[in-house]
Amino acid sequence: MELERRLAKVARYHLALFLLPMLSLLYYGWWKAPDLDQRPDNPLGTAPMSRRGDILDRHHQPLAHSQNGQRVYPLKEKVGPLVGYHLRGRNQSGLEASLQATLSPPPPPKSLWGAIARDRSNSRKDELLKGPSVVLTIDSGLQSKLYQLFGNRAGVIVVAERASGDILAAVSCPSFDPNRVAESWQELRGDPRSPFIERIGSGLYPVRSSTGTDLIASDLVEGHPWFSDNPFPRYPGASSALTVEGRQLLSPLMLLALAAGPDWSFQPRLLSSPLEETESVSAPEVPLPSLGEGQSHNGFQLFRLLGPAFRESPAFDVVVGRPGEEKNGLVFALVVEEHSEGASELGKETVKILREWSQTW
Amino acid sequence: MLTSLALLTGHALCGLSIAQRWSVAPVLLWGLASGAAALTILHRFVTRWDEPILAPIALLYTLGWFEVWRLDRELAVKQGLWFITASLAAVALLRALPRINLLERYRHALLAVGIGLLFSALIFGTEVNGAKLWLRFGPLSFQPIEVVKILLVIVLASFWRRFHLWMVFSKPRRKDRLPKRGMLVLVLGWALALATLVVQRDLGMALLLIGVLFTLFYVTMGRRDLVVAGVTAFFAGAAAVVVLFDHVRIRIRAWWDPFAFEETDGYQMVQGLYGVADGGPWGRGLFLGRPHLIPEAHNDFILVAISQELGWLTAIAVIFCSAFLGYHFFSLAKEARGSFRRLLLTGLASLWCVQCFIIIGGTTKVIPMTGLTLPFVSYGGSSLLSNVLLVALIARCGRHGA
Repeated sequence: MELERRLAKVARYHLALFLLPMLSLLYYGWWKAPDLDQRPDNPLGTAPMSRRGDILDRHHQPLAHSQNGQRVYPLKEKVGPLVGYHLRGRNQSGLEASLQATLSPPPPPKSLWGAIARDRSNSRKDELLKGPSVVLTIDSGLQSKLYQLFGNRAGVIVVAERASGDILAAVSCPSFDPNRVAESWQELRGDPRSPFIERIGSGLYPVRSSTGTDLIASDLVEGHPWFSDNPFPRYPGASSALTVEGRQLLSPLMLLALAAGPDWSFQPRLLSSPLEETESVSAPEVPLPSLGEGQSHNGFQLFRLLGPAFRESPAFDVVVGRPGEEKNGLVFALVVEEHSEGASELGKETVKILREWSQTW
Repeated sequence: MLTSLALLTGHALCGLSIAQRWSVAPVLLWGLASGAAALTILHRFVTRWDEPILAPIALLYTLGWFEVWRLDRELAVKQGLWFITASLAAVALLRALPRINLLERYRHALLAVGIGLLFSALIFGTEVNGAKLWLRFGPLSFQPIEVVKILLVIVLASFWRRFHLWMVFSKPRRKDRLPKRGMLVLVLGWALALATLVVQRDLGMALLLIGVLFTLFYVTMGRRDLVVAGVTAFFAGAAAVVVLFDHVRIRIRAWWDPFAFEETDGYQMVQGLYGVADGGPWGRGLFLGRPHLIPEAHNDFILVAISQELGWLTAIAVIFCSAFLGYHFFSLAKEARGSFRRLLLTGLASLWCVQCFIIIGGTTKVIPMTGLTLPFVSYGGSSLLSNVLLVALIARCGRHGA
């Protein structure tokens, strides 16, 4: 009898062991599940690499595509910060991050019944499994040329077509090779020149017009569209302008819009596929600031903007220009960090390249 | 009836979700046929219509087979083959063992066989993942430790039984004293467990030993103070191991906070937890999750793979089935005739429960992960074989046994 009593007690202890794993499953599967799903390294949060959509340039040349489960970037450094990188889980940057939802295939159904319903309604599974590709307005040839022109400098060069707003080239330097981010991660993270920053839409520079006044009147700052959350609906991931210690910080994209002309007809556009066209942009009531008088070289205008930044930050030069006066010509903005006299020269070189290029285009 | 219900539930679930993949039909048919054949053999000759044993096993095996099939078709084919082999081996074992008390009589021989198997693995074994646990015979590989566990329980039970008899029949004034030999066995077993931990750093095996040893000791002698002291001393020893060895400390920290070691030691755990979170209560559905991201998903981490694809409710059902089997084994122990059977059943039930707990707890981050297979669910020939033999022994000792 004694033995039986002890046996029952031992059995109870043994069975109690099974409770802990059940509770743990509940904890991680239910209570902590939203946190775990959202963790940046969770590979289940994103589609498998092989099913991710491609990023193409305007001639449908791939800027980023998936091959054997690897993300491949044929243009390497030339598009580094713009296209960004895609590592395991949610570790992404640039367009890879901002187009995350678009590039991913539709999420697998959460339940068995959902899966059956999906399979019933779509007989061709494989097509469903790959995410849609995104076509950019970037021209790979021009992008490469301008990247080479920029050389070892730090800064931005962005070129767009005036009439359509199509961004033809957007170079952000210093750059990195998105194919090799994982290997050189520490090195890139520690680089004081911050190669990971996409300077085109989200790099902000304190700029004034050549007369020394703020580009946007301070009483307008509050209601100005550039200070709203989404200044350029057709350029994913662009950040809004800021006012810090009384100085306005504008992105090269905004300088580009300034260079394009006095009205709001110009909207920089990076995506040529129709999926982003849903939002129609109407001209805001707020007047666009004027750049003032620019320096005229035969046939094109260069506007020098003043850019003594915060005392601590490196100085830089800004040149914006229109290499042609015709309505559908090109327009560019150029920012050279680490104050150097080369900005003006670089502007002229850029104009030369753009002219040559537009003749062949 | 329960058996067929369990089989059907699993089959219906899976058949539906893969309705469009007819190319895999041969493997599926083989799985159904082999599972049904093996379960029929077990039902007819081994568990002898003891449905509380067979129904959970059928459910566990079916779920496990489908998940293994989903992960690796070749393994699923092998798994079916192993299951049939194992059930035939169980029939053979029961035929060769006319009376269960023979086990007690030949306890010394069994002990020798167990030790021999253990050393043969250490000497002739092939190394997999840094541990020499496998014996290879041509294409077949076998983990002797799986069988040694059962032998150990038999030997312990027969020793304890003698001490129990000694206690019962000794003069009243000696009853509060413990038999010297019994204490020797206890201390030796305890030292062996600690040695496994220190030398092999195999927490699972050490816990298994400690669990079975002290369960049997407590049931026979009823000395709770000694149990508490022994288990405390064991954990103190384990803590000392953690403090002394650097790599053990890292593993413990990787267990406690796997997200801090996501790329290295915590990787498997973290992927497993992601799987559990991703599956939700109902799961993604077979073939619709991504259990391949979890290393060893077909083996150690099969519970997590099931949780991802069939939902944590199903995983809890698996745990519940294992617990129910443990409960049933203990109740058989309580009903058994004769103290040897009773002790043997207690030991085997304890072995079952602790083994399940170690692997289930390991995959759900309750205890640090140590490589063991989830009985009847994970892929693995020797584990399937030893578990079927365990069930055969239990069924033989139990109420329907001769």
